[in-house]
Order: sequence, then C-alpha cells, then structure tokens
Amino acid sequence: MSEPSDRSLVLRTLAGDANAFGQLVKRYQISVYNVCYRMMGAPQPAEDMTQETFLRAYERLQTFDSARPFGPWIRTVATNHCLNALKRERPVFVSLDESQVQPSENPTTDPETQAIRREQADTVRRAMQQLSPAARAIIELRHFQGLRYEEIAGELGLSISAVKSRLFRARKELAEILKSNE
Amino acid sequence: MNDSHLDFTTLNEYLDETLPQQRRSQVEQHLAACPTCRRELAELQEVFVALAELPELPLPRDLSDVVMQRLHPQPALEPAFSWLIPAVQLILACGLLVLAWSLLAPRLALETLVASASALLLQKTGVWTSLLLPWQTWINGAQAWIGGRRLLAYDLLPASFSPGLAQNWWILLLLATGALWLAGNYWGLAGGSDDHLHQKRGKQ
Repeated sequence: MSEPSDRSLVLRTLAGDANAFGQLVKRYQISVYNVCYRMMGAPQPAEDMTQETFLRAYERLQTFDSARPFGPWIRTVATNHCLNALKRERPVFVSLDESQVQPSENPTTDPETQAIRREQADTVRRAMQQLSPAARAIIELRHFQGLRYEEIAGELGLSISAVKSRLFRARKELAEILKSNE
Repeated sequence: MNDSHLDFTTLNEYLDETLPQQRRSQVEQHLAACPTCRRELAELQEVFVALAELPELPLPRDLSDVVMQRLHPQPALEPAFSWLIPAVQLILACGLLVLAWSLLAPRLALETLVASASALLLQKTGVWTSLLLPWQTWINGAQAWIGGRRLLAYDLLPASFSPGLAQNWWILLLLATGALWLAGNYWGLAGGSDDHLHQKRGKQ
C-alpha cells in the first residue's frame, strides 16, 4: 500500500484525524530537527524547538495552503520559530564538542575520512553559530531551504535589498571565519 | 577591464544564479580575464560548498510520540473522580484478603492475618511501621501461617510434595501476592505520578 501524500495527511488532520498529523511528524521530524540544530547549535535546544515547531504548525495548520508542499512550509516555520526564540533569549554558547552528536556516516567510509568530515562539519556549524541569529536564518533559508530572495523577504518581513545585503554580509563573515579556522 | 573588478554583490548574485543572462555572460567574460575576481569568487564559492556539504544529523530519538502526547494529552481523570481507580484497587485488594481468610479460616489463626498485614506494611511503608507491631505477634503469625509449626524446607515445596497444609500455603501465597500487587498499585497511584505535570509543564 502506498504512503498517503502530505496533502491527504494535512486534510485528514484538519478533519480531526490526530494520527494523520503524527505521520507528518514522523515524516518531517529529521529535516525539522536539522533546521533547528543549525539554528540553535546544540542537540537539546534543537530537539525542544523541533517539538515546538510541530506544535505551532498544528495550531497554524488552518492557515496552511494544502496545495503547497508541506516540507518547505514546516521547515520555514522551524526557522522562524528558532529565530524568534533566539531573539528572545540571551545567547548561550554551547560547545559542539559537548554535543556528542555525529552525522550518520557511510559505513564503507574509512575512519580517517569520517573523522576529517566530522571535523569539517563541526567547523562549519561552529562558524554558523558565530553569526547573528538573523544572519543564520537567512543562510538557512537560502542555502538549506533554497528560498529565493523574494521568498526570504516575505518570510522575514524584510525588503529584497535588505535580504541581499544581509545574505551577502553573512556569507562574507562565514568566509572569514572559515578562513581563520584553516 | 581589470580596472573595475566585480563587486561582492555581483559575485553573490552570480553564484545565486539571479543575474540576467546578458549580465551573467559579461561576468563570465570578466572572470575569464581577471585572476583577482576569480580568487574572490573561489573564496565565496568555498562557503557555498561548505554549507552544501554539511551532513544531516540523525535525530537522537523519535519525537512523534512526544509531540502527539503534547498535542493530545491522555485524558486525565477529573479531580472529582481521581480517587476512583485507587479506591477500586484497594477494595479489590481487601476483597482478596477476605477471600483468602474465608478459605483458610478454619485452619489458620488470627495471627495469620496479622502476619500478612505486617508483611505488607513492612514492604510498603518501611521497617519502622512494622516495628509498631509486637515482634512476638509477628513470629506467632508466621508460625501459624505454616500451620503452627516451625518453617521447614518442605513447606516451601509445591502442594504435590505436601498435600494438605502446603496446598493452603500456596493458595494464600497466590492471593497475598495478588493483594500486594493491587495494594502496591494503590500506593503507587496515591503517591502520585507526576507525568501529567511534566506534560502540562511542557518543555522549558
């Protein structure tokens, strides 16, 4: 039996089928967790924000246009939710070394290559954490979610020129941080 | 040509593929002839590559149940009826003890029940409460429990080894275990699981 489409699960949720939303959570929890991890920089806050994202999405599901794909929408909700949380909170530095979370590796890759890749990934994640939350959100929306300038502007309530200027500045900062870490 | 290098905005828009085709061609022509701009572009490109290659992390645990539980908490009993389940369990526990008593009363002394209660108290409320009962009563009860004799190894064997007394002993043991289990549940509930509080409190 084929898996139900996102659209049908959304419609069933709106009709009161709680299990349908559970299936959507199962389907998108990893990608949402990764959005939250990139935004929050540590596993526990990422996990908390993943839960909060789905709770918020459930509350706002009435406003979701079911003709649109669910995945990009929920990831955008996650980005915005993390951004708002980061703006509210005082910045807390959490060392990625303490997180103990490792990306799933291809078992055929040799340990040395795995270690190098892990180190590179940690460097990039650490560099991202040095950006302001707003800059991180723009990087997230553009690079990981593939939104266009206009879409980012709509999501973050900015003008297109502001998005471009912040995005380019964030990339410049990232480039400098990565260069200084070489 | 090299007098006017490509600015940072243009390089970004070039990599974002948002430049109009004509402008894009001009940029490519410039890049072909200008090592400075190529180097700038390469540095910027490194950021794109680093972000694109960032691996996806595994989720430490399945969150779907947690999310669903937070969305639709298990309907907790209203405070007015929250006593119902422990009360029913307590009544059942008492009922089992009475049944045990009625089955074995002809053979067992009153001390048997005292001993059962003492053992129950010992297990559930700690040593101090059980010490309130006279020690000799406890000993007498234990002796009566096994038929007025001292505890011997064969008393612990199944009924087939010792028909008569041991059979009753095993019935009592079975019923007492059931009673203890139910009573344990009662104390567990009365002690209060705070799971629902965690759920209501949610994540901080």
